[in-house]
Amino acid sequence: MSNLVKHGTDVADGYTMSRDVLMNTPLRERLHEQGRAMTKIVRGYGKPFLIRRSLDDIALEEYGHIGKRVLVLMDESDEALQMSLWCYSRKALPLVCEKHILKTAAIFARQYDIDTLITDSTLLFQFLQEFKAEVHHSIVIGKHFPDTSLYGTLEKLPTLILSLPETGILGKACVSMLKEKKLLFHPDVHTLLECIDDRIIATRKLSLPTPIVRYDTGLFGREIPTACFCDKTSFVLT
Amino acid sequence: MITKSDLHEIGLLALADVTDENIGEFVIRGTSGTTGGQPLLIVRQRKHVDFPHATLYNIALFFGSYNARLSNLTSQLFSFKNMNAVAFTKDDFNSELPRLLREIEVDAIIGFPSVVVKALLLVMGDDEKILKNVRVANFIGEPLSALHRKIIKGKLPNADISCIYSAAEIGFISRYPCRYLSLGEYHPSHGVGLEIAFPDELGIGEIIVSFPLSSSVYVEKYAIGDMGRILRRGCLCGEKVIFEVLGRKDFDFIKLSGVILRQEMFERAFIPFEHLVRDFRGEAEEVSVDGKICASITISVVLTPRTPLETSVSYARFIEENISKRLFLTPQKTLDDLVREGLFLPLKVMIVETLEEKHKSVKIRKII
Repeated sequence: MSNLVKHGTDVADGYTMSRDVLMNTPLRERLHEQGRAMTKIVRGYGKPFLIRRSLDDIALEEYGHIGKRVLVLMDESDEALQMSLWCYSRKALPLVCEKHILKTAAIFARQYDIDTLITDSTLLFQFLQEFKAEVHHSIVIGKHFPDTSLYGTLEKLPTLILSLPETGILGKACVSMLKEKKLLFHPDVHTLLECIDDRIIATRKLSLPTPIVRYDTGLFGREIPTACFCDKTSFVLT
Repeated sequence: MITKSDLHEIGLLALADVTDENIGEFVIRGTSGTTGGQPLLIVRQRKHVDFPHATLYNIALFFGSYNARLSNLTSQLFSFKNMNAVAFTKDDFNSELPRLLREIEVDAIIGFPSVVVKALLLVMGDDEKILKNVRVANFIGEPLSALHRKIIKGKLPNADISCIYSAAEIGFISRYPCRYLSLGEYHPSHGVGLEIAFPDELGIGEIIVSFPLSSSVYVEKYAIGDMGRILRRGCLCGEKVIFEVLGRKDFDFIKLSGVILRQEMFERAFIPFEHLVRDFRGEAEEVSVDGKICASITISVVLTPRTPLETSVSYARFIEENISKRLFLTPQKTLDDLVREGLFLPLKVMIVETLEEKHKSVKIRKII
């Protein structure tokens, strides 16, 4: 069943949650449930706002397969922390490093003999330049991805995850299309996506402490006819 | 006795003890070699600490590095039910910070003192009411200076202020302090052995720690690089061992010309000049003058923005004179007294526009 819903079909018209709602509604008024959780500070949109993620819902995210020795190298501190908590839930011990010590991170990665790299699109290539070796598996998370031809220079294609700090996973790049240097995404299994006037509206189906319901992601995209053999709905960013 | 460089060889041995069942108890830490050492990668099993805030819910973490944030975040979230933790970074230190603290309804703070103080100073006026809900303020990773203590007590009037002695490569060396200990005094954590190397007549020497990295890896006689002493008085709580940490060897705790220089003494001497001096760094060394060895202290000072720079020379002389009279280097003697006795050269103060960024709050160091 498709997770990508066209406007006016499965989801009633009307309310969408804008980023302003997150910025201007105090955390307490958005909290759906209490429990063991990290509160993330979402920065980078001007006014910072708070999102809460529980250990349980982080564990349910489907970033893909990872090994046992993971290097987490993310630009944003809270994203690095969330991904590290996810690694623990998948029984992997995360080594977290910062972008301003890439040389040291590469030394550490060699010492630790990492089998998985979790990073964002800007840091991936910067790190690999320092690391000077192939990573068995890499997961690249973010909302912008460079020219797909760049990924072709890598021996092993990374898993590309379309994600925002406030929502979590929106979609995953189709591997077979990425091999053909085409970037299209399949909606995440825990996310309902709508394209309304080319705007991507997301509803997370996970039980989040701060629910994301018909959230206007600020991303633009459109559904495209199935171009791969994955038998899943596909969309591209525009 | 082993040092940090020896830890490189055993840093990853504890990986052999990691299983799917106990993985939440383990952390892997990269330490950047903050006070001159080489970067070190180490895997260790977390030592349990009886934090008193098991009944609290909203913890704000203030640490300088991702590593420290992750280690403390997991320490809290994996240990307590119904715990919420938020990790602030320096990017949050702006006018939005009070709003975020209010929304989080923070009731406990854990962090490096210098980072916490930077944050607290941004909460002013009516916003300070938010901080009255903070009931626990626990400091880790660096000593709590007199100046920081004063600021923290003023900003967090209802908080129980305490310190835990720890190091990135070891984890918690002390327990959560019992109520009979003064700040700077600790009981060793369970499984941690402590001794003092080459103690002087006051019992002060280098702290040597023996500790487990995991169930099968035990590190014996590790020179952590801090100076301290073991107090033999026993404790009212029943614990026999009390130790006192006095500072980093050759950094914030310096032995020179038979006198001990402590960062805290410098900070205390500067307190009356808060309106004039924004920050300082001191360097101490032994020099030869006419064939006689004596000590020399040079302090670089950044003035507050409202102090006109064109008068910096006269400010430098003013600070030299006043700090010399206020800087007690022994219980009875000031720097001024020791200069008259010929043990120290007169204090040199230089007014500078910026200071070299040092990790944490290392404010004095010894030139070797």
